[in-house]
Amino acid sequence: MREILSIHVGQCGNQIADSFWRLILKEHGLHESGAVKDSTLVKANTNQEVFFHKVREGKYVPRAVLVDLEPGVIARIESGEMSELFDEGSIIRKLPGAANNWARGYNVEGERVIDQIMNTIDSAVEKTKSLQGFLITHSIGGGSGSGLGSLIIERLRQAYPKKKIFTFSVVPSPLISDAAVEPYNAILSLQKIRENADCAILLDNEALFRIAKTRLQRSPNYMDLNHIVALIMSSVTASLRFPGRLNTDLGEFVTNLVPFPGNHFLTASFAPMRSAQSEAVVRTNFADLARETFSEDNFTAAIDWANGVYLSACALFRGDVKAKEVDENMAAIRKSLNFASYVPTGIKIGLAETAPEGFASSGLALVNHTGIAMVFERLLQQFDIMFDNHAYTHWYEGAGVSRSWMQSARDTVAELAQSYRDAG
Amino acid sequence: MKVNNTIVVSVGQAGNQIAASFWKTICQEHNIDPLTGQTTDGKLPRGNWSSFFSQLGEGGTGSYVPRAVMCDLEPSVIDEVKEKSGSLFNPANLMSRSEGAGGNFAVGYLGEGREMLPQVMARINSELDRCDNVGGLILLHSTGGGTGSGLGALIVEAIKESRPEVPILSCAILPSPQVSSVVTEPYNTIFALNTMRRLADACLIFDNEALFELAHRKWSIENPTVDDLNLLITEVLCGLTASMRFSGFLTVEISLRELLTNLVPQPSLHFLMCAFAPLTPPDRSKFEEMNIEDMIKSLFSNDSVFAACSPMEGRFLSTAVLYRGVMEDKPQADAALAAIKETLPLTYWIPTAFKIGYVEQAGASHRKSMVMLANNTEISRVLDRICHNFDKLWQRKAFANWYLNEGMSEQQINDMRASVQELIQLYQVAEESGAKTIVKDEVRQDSGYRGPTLSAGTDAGGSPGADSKPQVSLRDLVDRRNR
Repeated sequence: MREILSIHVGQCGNQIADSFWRLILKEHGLHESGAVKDSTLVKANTNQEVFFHKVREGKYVPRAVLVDLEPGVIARIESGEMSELFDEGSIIRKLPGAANNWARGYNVEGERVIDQIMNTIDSAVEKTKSLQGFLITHSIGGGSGSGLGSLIIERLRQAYPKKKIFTFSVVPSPLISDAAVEPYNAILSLQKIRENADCAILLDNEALFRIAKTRLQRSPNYMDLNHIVALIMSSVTASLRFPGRLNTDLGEFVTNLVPFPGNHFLTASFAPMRSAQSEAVVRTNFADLARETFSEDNFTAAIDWANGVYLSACALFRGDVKAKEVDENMAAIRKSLNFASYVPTGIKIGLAETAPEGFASSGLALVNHTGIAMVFERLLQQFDIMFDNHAYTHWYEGAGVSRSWMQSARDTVAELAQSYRDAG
Repeated sequence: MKVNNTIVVSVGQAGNQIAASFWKTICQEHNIDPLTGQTTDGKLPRGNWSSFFSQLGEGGTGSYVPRAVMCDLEPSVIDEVKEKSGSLFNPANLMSRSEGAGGNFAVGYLGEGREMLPQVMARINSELDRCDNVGGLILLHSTGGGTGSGLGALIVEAIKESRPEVPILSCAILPSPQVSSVVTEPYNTIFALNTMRRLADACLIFDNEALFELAHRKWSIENPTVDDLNLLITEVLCGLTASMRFSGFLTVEISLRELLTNLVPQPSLHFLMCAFAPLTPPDRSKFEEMNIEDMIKSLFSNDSVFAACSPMEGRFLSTAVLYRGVMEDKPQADAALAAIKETLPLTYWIPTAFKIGYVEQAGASHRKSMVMLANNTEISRVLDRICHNFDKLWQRKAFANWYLNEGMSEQQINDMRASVQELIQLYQVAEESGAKTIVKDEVRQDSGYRGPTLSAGTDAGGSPGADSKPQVSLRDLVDRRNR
C-alpha cells in the first residue's frame, strides 16, 4: 500500500481540509465520523488505506495532521459533522498566531510548536506500511500557512529525504490583496518550496473565483472555491485510490512534470466545473470534457499563456471514459497546445474508474507552463518596491528574518522566474 | 479554545466614558448582560468571548468579566461607571483619586499620576497574567486633558518597560475647540503624542474636530454633545475589534498584532485615522441601509473620515478595510474596493496597499457595516493644526508656568515640540516619496524597477518648483533612525 499523509497548515489550509475530507469520505463510502456508510463502496475498492488508517473494523481515521496557530477554523471542524473523524492527537492548535508575518510563523511561533508537529507527523508515518509522500495545503500570503508551512516543509525534507512532498499553495491574488505584506510572505515561502518540495500546485483565489463564477452562473462563496481545490486534490490522487487502466502515482507525476530540478511549479484545472450542491449527476461527452479540462481560463493560477510554452502536462480522467475516445481527442489537444520545441512526448494520461461524487466523468490537468513566471514576477515587483523602501521590513527583522535573508529569498525566486522564462 | 486576549485600559474622563459605552455595546454583541456579566439561561456567550472577557474557572457558570482597567485622577466618571454598570466590572479595576489633574499633563505625568501608577500597573499586570495569550492592549484616552495625556503616557512607558513584547494600540481623542475649551489642550496633546510616537505600536487618532462635524452633518444633530461623539467612536472600536471577537470557519481572527503588521510600514509611521460606514443616524439604521458600493465609496471620501483632514488629497500608505455583516457580500465588496483602488492616491512603494478583514456577526446598530483604518499622510495636517495652536501659546509662554512648576523644563518642552515636528516631516517625506507612482513607467524604462530615486521623479516631471525641495528620501530617514 502506498499511503499519503496530508498536512493542513493555517486557516486557508484547514478550510481546504474541510472541503477535501468531506469529498474523500463520500468517495470512499464513509460517514463524517469515519464509520462505514456504504459497505459496497468500501468493498469495491481496497485502497482506503491510502488516505485512511483503519483503526478497527468499520472505523477509519484520516491520515492527516491539522495545524493552525489560530484556532477558528479547526474549532469549526472539531465542532461540526466531522468532530469524531480526526484523531485527537493529530490536531495541533496553539498559541497566538503569526499576525500575517512569515517571520513569526517560521521563527517565533514555529519554534514553539515544530517539535510537537514533527512528532505527530512521525507517529502518523509509523502507521503506514510504505509511505508515498505528503500533501500539504496552505496559503503563502498569510503568516501561519506561509511561515509555519515553510518550516514544516523544510523539516519534512530533512526527516524524509526520499518521500515526495506535494504542496497545494494558495498564492496572493493579482487584483486585491488580503494583506499588505503578502509579497514578503509569498517570496519567503516560495524560496522554501523551491528548495524543499517536489511539486507545488499554485492556486489563487481570484482565478478560483472566476472559474466558479463562470461555471456556476451565480456568485460563488468560499465553500465553492474550496470545493474546486478539493476536487483537484482528489483527482491528483484518484488513480492511487481507485482501480484503473492507467495508474499514476505521485512519483510518476513528478518524473513527468518536472523537466528541470526546481521548476516544479504547476497549475491545475478540473472539469466539468459544476456547483457542489447540484443534485443531478453531471454527464459530459468526452470531447467537451477534454476541451474544458485544457481550457486556459479553467486553470487555477494567473498564467501568462501568451508568452510561454508548455513544458509538460498530465491529464487524469475519471469515471465513464473510453480509452479510444481518450486517444482520439488527446492527440488533437496535444497538437493545439504550444509545447516547448524540445519536449517530444505527448500528454501523460491516467485513467481511474471512479468519478467524483455527482459526476459521470471528470478530467484533471496538471500543467507545467513557463508562463507561471508571471506569478513570480508580479510578486517580485511588489517585493522589490517595498523592500527598497524598507516598508514593513522592521516586522521581519524583529522576528529574526534579516534583510539579507529576505534578499536571498528574493534572489532565489528571481532566478526561478528567469529559469522559467529561459526554458521557453 | 485559545484566542488572543486583549485588555482595554481607559484613562481619564473621555477614555472612561468611551470605555463604558464600548463595553456596554460589546456585551450586547456577545449576549452578555451589561449589568451582571451573566448570560441568559447560563448559555455560552456568542463568539470568542474570551478575547475581551475573562472568567473564573474553566467552563464554569461564573460571570464574564471584561478585561478592563479604568483609571482616573478624579472620581466623578469612575463613580458614574460604578453606578451604572452593576456588577459587570471587577471593582478593583475601577480606580480613581480625588484631586484631578486640572487639565495639566505635568500633573498626570509627574505629580498625582506618578503616585497612582503603581496601583494601575498592578491591576494591568494582574489582567495580563490572567491572559492565555496576550494579544495586545488598547489604551483609550483623550490627549487634551491632564489625566488621559499624562497618566496615559506614563502607563504606556511603564508597560513598554516591563512587557515590551505586548503590542499597544493607543486610541487618542484629539481636542477641538468646538467641543471643549480647556485652554492648555495643545500643550497636553503635544506632550502625549510624543510618548505615543516613541513607544506605542500604533496610535489611532479620533479627532473631535471631525467628529463634531460628522455628528452634525451625517447624524443631523444640531449641537452634538460629547456623548454623540463617543457613540461614533464606539462604532469604530466595535468594528475594529469585531474580527478579534468573532472568528469562525470562513472569517478568520485578525489580531491586534496582525492589524499592526499591515498598517505600520515603518516603525515611526504609525499614526492612523479611521472611517466608518454607514453613517446612518443610529435611530434610522433599522429602516435604511446603504449598499456595499456606496459604503466603500463613503469610507474613502474626505467628509467621512474621523480626522479633520482630506485623506484623498494626501497619500494612503496602508489601509485596512474590515467588513461586518453578511458574508456573501465579500466578493462584491472586494470588487468595489478593487475598483476604487484605482482612484486612490496610493503609495507606489506599498503596491498591495490593503488588508481586508470580514466578520459574519453583525454589529449592534447596523446589519452591515465597515470600518476603514488608514495610515494616511494627511494626518500631518491634523498634527500641524495642534502644533500651530501650541506655538501660539508657547511663543508667549502662556500658561507655561503650570508645567514648569510641576518640574518640566523648557528644554524638555522644546524637544517634545521638535519631536512632533519631525513626525510631521516624516509623513511629508512619505507623501512625496509615494508620489513617484506617477512616473513609475518612466523609471522602469530607465533603470528597471529597482531603486528608483526621487530625482528620477523630478526629471520626468520637469517642474522647476519640485527641484527646490530637499532631496530627502525615505531611506535617509530610515538610516537616521538606525543611527
